[in-house]
Amino acid sequence: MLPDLKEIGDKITQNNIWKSIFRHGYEDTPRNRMLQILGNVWLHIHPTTVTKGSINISFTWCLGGLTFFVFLFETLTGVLLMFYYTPDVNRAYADMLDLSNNAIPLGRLLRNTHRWAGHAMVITVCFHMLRVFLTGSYKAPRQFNWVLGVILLVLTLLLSFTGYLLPWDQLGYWAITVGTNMAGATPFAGYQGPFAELFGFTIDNDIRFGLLGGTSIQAPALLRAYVWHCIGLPAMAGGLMILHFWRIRKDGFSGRL
Amino acid sequence: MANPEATTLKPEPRQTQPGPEKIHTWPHLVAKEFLCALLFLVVILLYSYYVDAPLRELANPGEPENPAKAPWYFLGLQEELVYFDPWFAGVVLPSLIIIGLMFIPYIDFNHKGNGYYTFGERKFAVTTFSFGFLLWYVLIIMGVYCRGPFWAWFWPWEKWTLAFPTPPPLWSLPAPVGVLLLLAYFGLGTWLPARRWKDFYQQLGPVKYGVTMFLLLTMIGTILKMGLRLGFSIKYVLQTPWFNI
Amino acid sequence: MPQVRMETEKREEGGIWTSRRSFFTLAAWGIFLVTIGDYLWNLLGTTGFFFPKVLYEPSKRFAVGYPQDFPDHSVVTLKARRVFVVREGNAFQAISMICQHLGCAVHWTEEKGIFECPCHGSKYYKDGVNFAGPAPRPLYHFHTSLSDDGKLVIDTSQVIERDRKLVI
Repeated sequence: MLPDLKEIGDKITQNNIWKSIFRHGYEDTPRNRMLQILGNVWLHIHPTTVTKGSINISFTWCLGGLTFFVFLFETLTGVLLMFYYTPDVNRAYADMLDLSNNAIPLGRLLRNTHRWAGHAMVITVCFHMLRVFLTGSYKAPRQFNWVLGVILLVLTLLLSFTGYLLPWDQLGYWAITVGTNMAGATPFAGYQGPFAELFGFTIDNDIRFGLLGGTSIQAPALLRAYVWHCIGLPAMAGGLMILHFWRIRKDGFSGRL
Repeated sequence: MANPEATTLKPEPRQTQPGPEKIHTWPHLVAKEFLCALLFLVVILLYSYYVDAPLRELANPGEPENPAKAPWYFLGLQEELVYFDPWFAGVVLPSLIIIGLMFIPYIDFNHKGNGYYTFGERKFAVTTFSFGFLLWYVLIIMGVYCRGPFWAWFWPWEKWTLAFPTPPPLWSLPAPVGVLLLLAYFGLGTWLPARRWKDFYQQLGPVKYGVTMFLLLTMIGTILKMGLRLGFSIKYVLQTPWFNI
Repeated sequence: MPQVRMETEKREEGGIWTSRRSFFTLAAWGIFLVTIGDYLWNLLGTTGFFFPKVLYEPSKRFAVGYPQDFPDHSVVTLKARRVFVVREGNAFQAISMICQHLGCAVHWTEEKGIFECPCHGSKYYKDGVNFAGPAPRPLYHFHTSLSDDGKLVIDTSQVIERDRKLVI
C-alpha cells in the first residue's frame, strides 16, 4: 500500500515546531505572496509588488543583482580558499600549485571559479553602470546612489587587484609592482611624484610604502594584500552595498518602473 | 489626540490613479532572479571546468615577463601609461575618471530620459558616456591583443618577434609653446561650444558647464596626446621643471 | 495609547558665541573632533600604523665580486641584486635595473645596445639615459667602491651622477 503523502505532509507541517519556523503557509494566495517577501529577512530587500515592465529582462539585464550574487559567490569560494592558502612568500605559490593540481578535493575548480568569477564581477559591474546610465536611472532623486555605485566599482577593481598578488607568481608580482609604483607617483604624496619634496616624502614614508609595508615587494606586501583582499575591502564593499540597496528602495525605482 | 486642528482637516482621499500594472514580486521577480543566478552558476562552473585560471612561474623580482601585462581591466590604464607620466596616467587621470563619473548626476540638467532607454531625448549625454565607455574598451583591446614583447605594437595576426625596429628618440615641445597650446585647447574648447550652443550653456550655467567641458576636453585631450606621440614622437606637450604632461 | 510628548528646547538669547549652552556644545564638538583627528592621523598618517619603523629587507650595500670577473666592454646583469655592472676598460659603473617609469626590471638587449622595459616599452641608452617610451628620467646610477679584499661593492642607497665612474 502506498503511503498517504498528504497525511505525512500534514504531520510534518501541522505542528508547533514547524509553525514556529515558517510563519505562513505556502498556499498561493495574494496574502501569502506578500508575506513571502515581507516575512523573509533576505527577500524583503524587494518591494512586495513591482510594475510589470520592471521584470522585463531587457530593462535591467539583471546586472546589479548578478553583481551582488557574484560578490556572494566570491565570498563563499574565497572563504573556502582561505582554508588552504598561507599568505607567506615561501608557501603561497606552493599552495596555489596544490590547489591547481587537486591536491585538495575540488581545489582546482575552486580556484578557477574564484578567479573567473572575479573577472565576471568586473564585467557585470561595468555593464550595470552602462545600463544605469543609458536608462537615466541616476537622475534625481537617485544621484547619491550613483555616487555609491561608482565607489563600489572602484572597490570591485581594488578587490580584483589585491587578489592578483596572492598567487605570488610572475603575473601578480609585476602587476602589483606597476600598480604600487603608480601610487609612488602620486603628486605631493608619492616619492617619485611631482612636488614630493614639498612635504618630505621619500621611498620609506610615502603612500607606496604604506601600501607595501616596505620599500619593495616583500613578505609584508603579500600579507597586506591578503588582509585587504579578504577582510578590509570586502567589509567596505559589503557596507556600501547595504547602503546602495537601501537607497534603491528609499529613493524609489526610476521612471516607468 | 490633543491637536484640535486635526479634526477639522479632511483626510485626503488616497490617490488611486491607474498607473502601470503591478504584479507580485513573489514569484515573478524572485523566480527570474533565481534563474539568472542559476544561469550564471552554470556558465562559470562550465567555463572553470574547461579553462584553467592563469598561474605563471614563481615571482622573480629580477626578470619580468615580456611583455608584462596587467589584468585586462587595467590594460586601458596601462596603455595610457605609455603616453603619459605615471603621476598623470596612473593617479590624476583615474581620479578624474572616478570623480567625473560621480559628478554625472549633478551636472546632467536634463530631466527627460529618467528610467527608460532613449537616445533622442539625451543625445549629448548618451553620446559622451558611450564614447568614454567604448574608449576604455578599445584601449583594453589594444593592450590585450596588440601589444607584444617590450610593449611593441603587433597586430593580432602578426607573430611576436624581438626583431622590431627601435623607435626614434622622442622630443618635447618648448615650454612656451606648450603653455600656449594647452591654454588655446582648453580656452577655445570651452568658449567656442558655449557660443555655438547657447541654450546648452545657459541651461548649465558657468560652473556646471565648466566642469562638463573640462572633463570632456580632458578625455578628448588624452586621445590627441596619444596621436601626437604615435604620429610625431612628441614626449611632452607641456614641460615644466616640476611636472610634464 | 501613550502619547509622545514633544518639548521644544528653550532657545537662549544671543548668538553662538554669547549663549553659554551653544558655546559649550561647540567647544565639546571641537575637542571631540580634534581628538578623533589626532588618533586618525596617528593611525593612518605617515608615521602611523601602516608605516613600520623597522624593515627586514635585503642590505642596500653588497659586494658583487672581483673587478676582473666582469668582462671588458660588457654589461653584466645581476638579477638577484637588480643592478647592471657596466665595464669599459678599467672604469666601472653600477646602473639600476629598476625602470624609472613604473618599477619593472629593464632588460639589456645586447644586439641593439640599449636597455628595454617589458612593461611599457621604455628605452634607455647604454649610459642609462631614456630616449623613447614613457620613462620620465634616466636609470639610477649607484655608488661603487672597492672593499678591503678587492671586491666591487655597490651601495644602492647612494644615487650618483651619471658621469661618475669607479676607475681601478
